Parts: sequence; structure tokens; C-alpha cells
Amino acid sequence: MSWQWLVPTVSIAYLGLLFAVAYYADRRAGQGRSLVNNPTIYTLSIAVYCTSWTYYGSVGRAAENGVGFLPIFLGPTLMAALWWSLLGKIIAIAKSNHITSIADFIASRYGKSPALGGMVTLFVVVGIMPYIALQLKAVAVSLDVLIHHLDVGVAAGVTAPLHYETALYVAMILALFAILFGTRHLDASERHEGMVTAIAFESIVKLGAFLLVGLFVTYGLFDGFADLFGQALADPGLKRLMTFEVVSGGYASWFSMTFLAMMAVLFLPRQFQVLVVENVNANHLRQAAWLFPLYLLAFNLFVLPIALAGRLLFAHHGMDPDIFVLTLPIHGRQDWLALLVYIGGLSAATSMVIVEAIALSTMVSNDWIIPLLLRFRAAFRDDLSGVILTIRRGIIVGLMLLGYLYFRLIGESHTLVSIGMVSFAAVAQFVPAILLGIYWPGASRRGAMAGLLAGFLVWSHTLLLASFAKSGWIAASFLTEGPWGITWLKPQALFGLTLFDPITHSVFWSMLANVGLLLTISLFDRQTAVEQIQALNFVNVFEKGAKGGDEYLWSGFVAVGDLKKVLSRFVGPEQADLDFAHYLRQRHLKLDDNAQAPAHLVAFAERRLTGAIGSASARVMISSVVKGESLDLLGVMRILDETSQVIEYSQRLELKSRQLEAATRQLQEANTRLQELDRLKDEFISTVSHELRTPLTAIRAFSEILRDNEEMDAMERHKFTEIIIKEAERLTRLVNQVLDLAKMESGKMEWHVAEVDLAQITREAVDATCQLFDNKSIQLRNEVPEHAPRLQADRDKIIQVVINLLSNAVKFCTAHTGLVVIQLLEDPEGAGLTVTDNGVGIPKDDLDRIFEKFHQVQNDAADLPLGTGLGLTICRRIVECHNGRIWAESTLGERTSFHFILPCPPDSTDPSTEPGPTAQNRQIACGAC
Amino acid sequence: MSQIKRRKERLLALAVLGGLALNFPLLSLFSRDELVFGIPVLFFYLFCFWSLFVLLIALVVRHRPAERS
Repeated sequence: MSWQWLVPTVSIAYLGLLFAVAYYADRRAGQGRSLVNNPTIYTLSIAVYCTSWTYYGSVGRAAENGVGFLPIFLGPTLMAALWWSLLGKIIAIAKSNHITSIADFIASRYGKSPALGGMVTLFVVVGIMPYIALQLKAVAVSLDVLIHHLDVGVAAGVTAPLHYETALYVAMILALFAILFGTRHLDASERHEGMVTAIAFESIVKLGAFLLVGLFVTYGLFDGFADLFGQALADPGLKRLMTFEVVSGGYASWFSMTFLAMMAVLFLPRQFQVLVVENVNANHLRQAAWLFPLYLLAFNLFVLPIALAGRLLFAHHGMDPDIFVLTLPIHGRQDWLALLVYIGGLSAATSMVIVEAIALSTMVSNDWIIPLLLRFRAAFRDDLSGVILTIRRGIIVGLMLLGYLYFRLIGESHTLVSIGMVSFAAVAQFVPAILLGIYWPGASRRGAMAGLLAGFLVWSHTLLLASFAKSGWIAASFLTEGPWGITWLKPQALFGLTLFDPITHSVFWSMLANVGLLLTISLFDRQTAVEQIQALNFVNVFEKGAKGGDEYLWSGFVAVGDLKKVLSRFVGPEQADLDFAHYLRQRHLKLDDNAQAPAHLVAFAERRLTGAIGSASARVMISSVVKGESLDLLGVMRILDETSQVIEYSQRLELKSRQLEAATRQLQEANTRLQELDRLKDEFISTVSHELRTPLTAIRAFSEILRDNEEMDAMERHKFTEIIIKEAERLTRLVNQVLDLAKMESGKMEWHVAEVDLAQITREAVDATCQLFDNKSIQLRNEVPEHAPRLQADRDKIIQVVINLLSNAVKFCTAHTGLVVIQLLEDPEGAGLTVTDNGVGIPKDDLDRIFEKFHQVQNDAADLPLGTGLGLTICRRIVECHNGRIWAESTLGERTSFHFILPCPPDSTDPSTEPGPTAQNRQIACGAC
Repeated sequence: MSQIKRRKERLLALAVLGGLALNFPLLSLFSRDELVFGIPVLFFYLFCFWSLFVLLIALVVRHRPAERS
């Protein structure tokens, strides 16, 4: 069988299968049944991290360095734990700003700076191009090695011839793939579903092939892990591979590689593309956070066994450990397995090249070509969307050719050996600008630029130029004696630091320069308005209302039609119309083309344009049609200031008006009360006068009778005199009560609060009224127990209350059959007395009003003695001044009960208790009654 | 929401734990040319910790029924 033809045919067939997968996925997406909206596909697409460098290189590294290959995969594992929070934030920022690449991310964060975007793109291309070349080389080498060894077996000392053209063909097929599935839509923030699905498919192929060869080596060539490791342990040359001694660079290198891998898995252009740009739903991160490390774990499980097996079986062949994966199956006479392994390696290389090419083409077109294009004003006139797509396609082809050229130029030199790590170190230079940028609003554009520039200079000097020197492009003295013989500038021992391996050394110095400059300059810098607003947009992306701060950026005038025209030049007229209509419908706005565009519409157009041509160019384009100025820092500050002042004023006004309302309400209440009091006073005076007139009239009438009838008999004269005395007494009583009431109401009554005994009070009141009871032969039953509770009260006043109640009861009782009962009343609120009589009773309607002044129950029983009409009013006043309560209950014709209750002091049995409020306090308290 | 925040804090703690466990000096404890269960000690430790780490992440991030609301 001629492998010479079969292997290339299978390769092309495999790439054809990739096209089919991608085509199928794109068609599904077109039908609305997306395959990509799935966390497992998302995770598999992230596995584009595992390139042919992983596939072949890990075994090669393990064969020399033992576990030294692992940091490349342990770093991403550690990082995966932080994805949910860190990557979640980056995704949120990228989505709300339509960011499509790492260069755009940094440029947009630091004030949409075109210079920064261009700089990042330059560094990415310089840093990543060798990495692409490495993949092309892997494809070419693996193809030739496979064919060669399939034909001649794994004899010692034979190396395969290398056919460079293979790499060119592969590069062109991949360019075609990237063009077909990566440059369909102009808006790079739209997802490339076909490409992602193909990448996910490739991730399954490479993992499956690697696991198969691992299982074959462990269980086919050896008798399981124990056998393999046992044999290796017996070999003195391999024994050391199981410890840490063989890891070159030791723990420092282990640490720096872990750090680099942590950063690379986020910020390599292809990783950013699949993690952020192609992300459908940020929630997919949660599954990816554990599934991706698991994928890496599975991938690495057999690396060390394969390396040890290769070392054991090819001990004397001098075979390159990098191709153990291919040669071991051939050694085991499993040629088809070897072919499958080769396909796995092909998939690892192609997936990386495809995604990297798409990511880089977006960056190069948005941050280099379009800004240049925009300089030629004439080009504005036409629809540019087709031009931009063509540019992107051209860039992809150009990048592939560049990668191929790079591979041809230094293909054989050992520059490629550690190029993966060198690329990682290049990408790590973006980390400070990005991570500080999304958590610290103070990071400024000048700081980021200086940090990036310094980091890259150090990186170029310590790694890139050093590797050129190693491959002989630059004189070797550059390495050994330093540039121009300056020894402290020796690229691998800067300032005489010889502690670390070259990678760690470079990472240390470049990070020091990068972070140091970014922090220092930012701390002393003044940010422009755009920078400040973007910084807050990025840092506070999760806060409500953070979005739309960029609306402040536009204060000029532009017609809706002009805005639409700008957009349509880059996305096509139909798309622009659709976008505007959709946006206006969402906001319930109706604007025709001549209307002035509101600031948020301008911001929307800018965001939409950012997806197509990058943030910096989008800003340039929009500001070319907005008349008037985009705001400077002072303008923004003034707007913010004015807004906050207006808000403060209106808040103060609101407060004032609330206060005024409250005051008005109080005044109204007071006025109503005053009017009421005035009316009561009038009423009182007229009532008092009326009440005074009744006994006076009687006294005058009887006196006149006595004066005019000299011959009246003694009996009659005595009777009339009695009446006069009685009426005079009533008059005195009335006057006294009116005075008492007036005193109480004006708060001038003096109160002598002391501890009083209810039983004793009852007794005294009963003694004082017993004559009244005897006169009418009414029975009085005192049921108050001897040990009644003690209260804080004015003794005389309480006695007066009881006397009033008793005499009131007497009035309403029928002579001879009347019965008045006086009882103790106790409940949680305090203690008091109940006076019950069996008189005529009080109608329900009158129950509340009997305590009003001069209210007397209208009664048919004409012979009832008249009271003053003030007794109960005085009772109520007194009880209320003690914070107590008085009320009446009655059943008509049966009985009437008067209750009053006074609050008990907190602990009335404790003799040390304060004697209650002083007389003066009481007076004040009563003033309010 | 605070539940989610708490879980993100757990993930941060987990990452710190991983950073410590996979570095000097803890790693040096396992650098011995011996076998456990027929597997080199260092290799065994690294892969065991790796599996445990993945398991712990999965436990923290997993969707819980209560979250649906």
C-alpha cells in the first residue's frame, strides 16, 4: 500500500469533513436551531488551547523534563476556578460594547485610543506569528515523518526528508476555511457558528486520538501503568524523570510557566475569540469551569507514560521525542492507529491556525487598515461593507503566507522549539492593562501605553532578540557579552540577574516594567473625559445604569439620516435601516431622517459601528458627522456638576415644601381647635349665666314674697327661708365648681400627689355622703376590701371624684328602695372604683355626653333634685389629669355603673420607688388637659 | 444574588488553594523516585489533586434547583 498517496488524501478528506461540519452548523444556525448555544460545545471550542505543541510537544518535553510539561495545563485549571467571576465580567463588558478583539478591548477601555489599538495589534502579530509558523511546521513534519516511517519502519539514525510545500498547501486550505466561515458577516461581534462547531469537533478528534495512542502504549506495548513505571524506575537514566530534579528552571520556572499559562488561556487572541466573542450565554462558563480542566486532565493523563515508553523502547535510536506519539504505534505495527494519531495532530494544528487567523484578521483590519482607510476621505462616499470584508479576507491570506514564510526562513533553527512559551510571555504583557483596567478606574491611557511598550521592549530584548541570536541571525556575542558589549544588558541576565531560566527572567523584568509604569503613570495622570467614562463603563459593567454613560460623549447635533448613512457605509443600507428601526421600536421613538438624533441614538450607532470596524475607528467616524464638539473633560464635568446641583436644589425644594405643608396643617389644626375652644367658651359663659340665674331667680322670688307678705305664718316663712338657703348653697357650690373647673382647664390647679389608699379614700367619701343616703333612706354598700392597691394621686381630688359619683348616684335612686354599691376595680392598666346604683338608668345616646359641662339627662321624673351639671365634668378632668379613664355603663330602668381607673405606678409595693411626678410636674402635665 | 457572590468567593479561595498546592514548597514533598500503586509519587499527587480540584469547582458552580426562581 502506498502511504505516499494515502496520507495526503486522508488529510484532505479530513479537512473536507471539517468544511462539511462547519457548513452544517451554519445552516442549522440559519434555521434558528443553533448548535453552539450549548455549554459542552462551548467548552470543546475552548480546547483550541491544545495545539500541536500540546499534542507532540508535551511528550517531547516530558521525555526530558518529567512533569515539567504540566504547568501549561495546571495554569488554565487554576484559572478556570476564576472564570465565573473574572471572565464573566470580561464577557459582559465585551458584549455591552460590541468588542471583538483583545486590541479593541484595550483600546476601548483606555478612551477608544487608535494608537493603543494599533500598538496591541502590532505586538500580537509579532508575538503570535511564530506560533502560527510552529503549527504549520508541525503539520508538514508530522506528515513527512508519518509517511517516511510507515515506509521504512523505525530504524535507527534515519530522519525523514522535509517537504516544505505541504505547509503551504495546508496554509491555503486553512485560509479558505477561515474566509468561508470566519468572514461571512461584517459585524465581527456576530458569532461564527460553523467555525466554532468545527473547532469543537476537532477537539473531540484530537483528544480521542491521543487517548487511543495512550491506551495502546500503556496496555498494548506494556502491561499497564505499573509495568511501564516499574520498568522506567529500574532504568537509572529514567528514574530521575519521576522527580522534580529534572524540571529545568526548577520551582521558579514552574511558577512562572503556571502564571503565563493562566494568562494565556484567557488572552491569547484565539482564546479571547472563542471564550468571549463566540460566547452565546455567559452562564455556559459555569460548565466550562469544570469541564475544560477535566478535558486538559484527560489530555495529559498519558503524556508521561508515552514519553517513558518512547525513552524505554527507542533508547538507542536517537529519535526526536516530539514524534514518539507517531512512531510508537508504528513500532507496535499499528499503522492505522498512527494515521489516526496524525489526524489528531492535524486537527490540533488546524483548529489553532483557523481561530488565530480569524482573530488576527479582525484586529489587523480594525486597528490598522480601517484607520488608514478613513484617512482617505474620498473613500467615504461608497458602501464600504464589501471593501472591509475583502480586506479581512486578504489579511487572512496574508497572515497565512506570513506564517509560511516565517516557517521557511527559520524552519530548521531551534527558534521554534520554545516559541510557544515566548508567545505566552508576549500575551502576558496585555494582562496588567486588562485586569487593572476592569477593576481599577484610575488606570489611564498613558499608563497603559507606557506599561505595554516597556513590557514589550523588555520581552523583545530578553526573549525575541535572544532567540534570534541563538539561531545565528544576530551575532552570538549579543547573548554572551550583551549588546555593544554592555554586560548589564545581557538579554538573559539583565542587570546581572542570573537566578532564573530565560522565560522566568523575561517574565520578571517585563512584568516589573509593565505593571510599574502602568501604576506609576496612572497615579500621576489626568484622564480625558472619554477615558473616565469608558473606565467607569468597564469597571461598573454590572451596575444598573452604568451602561449609557457614553451618551455624555456626544453633545453635538446630527440628523438621524446622516447617522444612518454613516452606518450604512459600513454595514450596508438594508442592515442599517433594520438596526435603526429595531432600536427606535424598542425605545418607542418615532424619528424621521431629518430629526435631530438624541445622544443615546448616537451612542447606539457608535456601538453598532464598533462591532464592524472597532471602537477607535467607530469614534472617528461618528465624530466626523456630529456637528459641534464632542465634549471635553470640563464639559462633561460641568454637565455632571449642573445635573447634580439641579438634583440637590430640587431635593431641597421638595424638603421645604414638605415642611411648609406640615406647618400649614398644624396651623389649620390649631385654628380649628381655637375656634372650637372659642365656641365652647361662649357656650360655657352662656350656660353658666343661665345656671346662675335659675337659683338667683328662686332666691329673689322667695325673698320678695317674704318682704311683701309681712303677715305670713311662721311655718311658711321658715319653709321659704329654707329654700332660699338651699338655693344659695347651690349657688355657692356652682360658683366653687366653676372656679375649680376653670383652674383645672387653665392648668393653675395645684396637685398634691402622694401615695393614697383606695380603701381609705372610699371610707372618707362614704362618711362625707352618709347624710345624703340617710335623707333618702338609700342603702349604701361599701365592698372595697381593706387591702386595696395604693396609687400615686392627689388624695383630696380623688375623694371629690368619689363623693361626686356617690351623690350623683343618690340623685338617680328612688327613695327607700335605692341601693348603691361601691366596688374595687382592678385590671392590668391600673386600679379604680365602680359605683353602681339601681336608679332609672341613662339612655345609651347620653352615656358619652353626661361628662360634658352642664349636660343633664332629660328626665320625666320631675322630682329629681337638680345638680349643677358640672360634677361629672370635674370628675373626668381630675381622672384624666391622673392619666386615668372614666366611663359609664347603663341599663335603662335597672342600673347605672360609673367606673374610673387610675394607672398604678410600675411597682407600687416597692417603698423605694420615687413618689411619682411632683406637684409642679403634674401642673404642667395638666396644663395640656 | 448574594448566594452567587458567596460561591464566587469560594471559587477564589479554591484558586488560592490550588496555587499553593501546586507550587513550592508543598510540591517538593512529593519529589521522590518511588511508586504508589505502581505510579510515581509526584505524578500520582499531581493528578489526584487535579481531579479533586475539578470536582470541587464542579460542586461550587453546579446549578441548584433553588436558583431557577
